[in-house]
Amino acid sequence: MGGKTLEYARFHESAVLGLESAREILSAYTGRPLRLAAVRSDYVELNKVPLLSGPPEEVVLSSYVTFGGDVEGQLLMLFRPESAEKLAGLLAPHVLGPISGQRSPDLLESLIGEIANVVGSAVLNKVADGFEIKILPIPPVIIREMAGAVLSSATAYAGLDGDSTYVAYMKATLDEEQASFEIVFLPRMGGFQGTSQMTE
Amino acid sequence: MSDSLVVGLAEVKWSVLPEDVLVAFSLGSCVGVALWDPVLRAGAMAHVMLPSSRGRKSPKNGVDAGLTPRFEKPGKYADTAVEYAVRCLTAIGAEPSRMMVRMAGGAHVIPGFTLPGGDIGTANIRAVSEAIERLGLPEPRKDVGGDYGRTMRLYVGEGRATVYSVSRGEREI
Repeated sequence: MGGKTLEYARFHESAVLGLESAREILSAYTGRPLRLAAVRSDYVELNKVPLLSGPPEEVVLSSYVTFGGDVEGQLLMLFRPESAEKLAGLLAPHVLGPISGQRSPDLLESLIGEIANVVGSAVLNKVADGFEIKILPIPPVIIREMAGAVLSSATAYAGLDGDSTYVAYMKATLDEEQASFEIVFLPRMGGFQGTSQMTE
Repeated sequence: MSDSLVVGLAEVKWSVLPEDVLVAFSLGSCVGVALWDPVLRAGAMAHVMLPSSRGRKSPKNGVDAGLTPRFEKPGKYADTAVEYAVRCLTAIGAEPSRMMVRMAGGAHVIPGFTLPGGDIGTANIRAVSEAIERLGLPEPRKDVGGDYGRTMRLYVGEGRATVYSVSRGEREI
């Protein structure tokens, strides 16, 4: 179990396919064609991870998934509060439209959990297909906490192995409403090989 | 006017400048350790990530001579981090037995996130406490555990340490 090294460029291609697949599913959910406006991607050293998502003290909604199989690791998705409301509003306009997510945080978290489930599963499935490996995720948990605290806790786990593990960071923007979210993929064993090129 | 010196993941920083504020942002399972010598009015802070170096060698500068980026830094592990922070201050004449010691963090932020040896935040708290005792430092004041992130600050000029969390705001420890 574990021990595989992922080639970053191939990971990026697979992950973008996963995001496209997630977009299709979310479009079907919402009954309106959503557009994947932009995917920014990079891979970074572990110690940069806590600062990846902007101000580390800013509170975000995070979906956290661990996975095993041929590659062990973690998939984190971070949603800024305003983006979380926009995304949840896209998914359930009749529900969240009249209610502010601030007034109904449980509902917002539940909707974000659904979105994270769709996106996370799609990305992990395409990465597994792309590398012809088995990835076995456990159901996600949703955390509302400082972005840096969630990221650094996840990094501690990934940091157990090796000195030069890389993580993949992607920022995806959906639709004209510019609702964006961030994905951090932390493989525990082996990490990535490749070059630290940013991909647009 | 204060100047913030950010102590990043696995880093140790120190200062004798009274306007400096050493800050470890958003400690989750990591533990921040602040040391301050009241005579020299000098402070150090470590941002500890993991409990034990298990005998790994500490690198000279955190960057390998080759092209492979290295992550190992003295602040990564509790046993090496506290010792390194103490050495930063004793090198300029500080005395361990008179240091003010504070620690914060070691939370369990992600539900279900454990290692084979148990919760990583708890292990970090234990390892830092053991290092503090082993090095003959005074008993620390602590704000540790729980399930929330914290930011720790050490005001070098005053020797004052604060902890900020979203739910509790900022308070002195």
